Amino acid sequence: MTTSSGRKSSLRQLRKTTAGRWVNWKRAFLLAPLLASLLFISLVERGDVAFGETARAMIVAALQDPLSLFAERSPGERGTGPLKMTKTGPHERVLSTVRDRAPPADDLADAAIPATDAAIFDTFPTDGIIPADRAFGAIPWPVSFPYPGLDWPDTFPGPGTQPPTVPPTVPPVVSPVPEPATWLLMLAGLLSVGFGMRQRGEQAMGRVLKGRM
Amino acid sequence: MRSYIRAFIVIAVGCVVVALFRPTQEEPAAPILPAQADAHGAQTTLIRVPPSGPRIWYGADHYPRLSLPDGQQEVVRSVLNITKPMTFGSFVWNDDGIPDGPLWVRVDLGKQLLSVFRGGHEIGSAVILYGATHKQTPTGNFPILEKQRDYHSRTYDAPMPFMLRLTNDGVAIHGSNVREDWATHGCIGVPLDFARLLFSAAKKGDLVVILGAEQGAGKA
Repeated sequence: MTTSSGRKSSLRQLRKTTAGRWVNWKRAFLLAPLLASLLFISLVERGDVAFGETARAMIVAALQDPLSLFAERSPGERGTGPLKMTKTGPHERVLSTVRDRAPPADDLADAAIPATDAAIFDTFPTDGIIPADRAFGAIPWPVSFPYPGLDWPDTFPGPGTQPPTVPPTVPPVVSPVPEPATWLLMLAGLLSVGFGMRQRGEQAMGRVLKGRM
Repeated sequence: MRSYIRAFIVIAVGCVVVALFRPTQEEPAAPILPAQADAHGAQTTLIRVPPSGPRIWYGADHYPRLSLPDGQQEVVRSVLNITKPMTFGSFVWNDDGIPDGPLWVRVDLGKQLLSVFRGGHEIGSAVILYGATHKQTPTGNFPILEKQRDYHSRTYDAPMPFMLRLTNDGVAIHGSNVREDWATHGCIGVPLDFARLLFSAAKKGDLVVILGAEQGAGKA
């Protein structure tokens, strides 16, 4: 495609310098309305832009509805994160004397109970009422196992044994900021790449200087 | 080459024409109530051209109605023109030219908003605090049981200025420090200046309607 007009626009100069075939600027500019209309259509599809009868109907409907006006002025729903509550309490006023009283003395502790069983009884409520499933037969562990993913054994392993101390498996916390070692490794990599490019550049420059290129 | 250019122009013009005369999906129905709100209660409609003036008046022939939890409806004659989201601690109070009339208060927990209506005209609106998840604010219709200007809570040993008691177990509307992500123990906290205005406008026996998130979105 040859240009017949004698006007030397910068566009045509650019076109000449870019060897003509690769960048057809006239065609590229003709694509602009196509792209613009595609963008427009996508916005309309998403509901971001409304016009004409639709927009008028939407505004009228929104104005007719006080609830939508309230929604416009609302700061939104409360977040699901932690909430701050400034007041302490509530302060107990009615039952305070009852609750402050010391727990009743435990008569069972002094009774003729074998020493091995006394440790088990220590876990029972101090009011002396022993649940049937704890008093007889297989004795389950008295408290819930604190580590997630693991369970207590079904039966009590016997007096004097300690609960198995299995440390909880904590998932590693990935920080968004790399560790210093990572930074150093990245820096080392960049330096090596730079060094390599520099070396190769010197070689190429040497070839140029020797007249091979 | 010229045919190429022509083809592009035709396609581009065609796209624009299709975009302009796209058939509309949502035909406006007659007075829309309840609102077409999405799951979060937010209106998807964007009002690009906000109406001017301090309030939006409704024509006498189509007053919208707000439904209460007990099935009754309250007529709305005008609402305050607040098109921007309100910030925590801010409020609007404007009863210029609004005649006396029955007063009721609409509390929308989901939207964290309170509106005061007098004779069907909204005269005040504020962002509120409400009860935390384990100390929830009850929903329903509550007439104001008691008014006290300088109330001090015995339960929480805390000042509750301009207290409007709603329930006998201690839920009230009172002045608070309204900030984002703060919560109460079940009361409804409003900014102190707004509490003063509401205290002077409301009287014992006036209705306070507390709506949960679903009721406020018009789904219940």
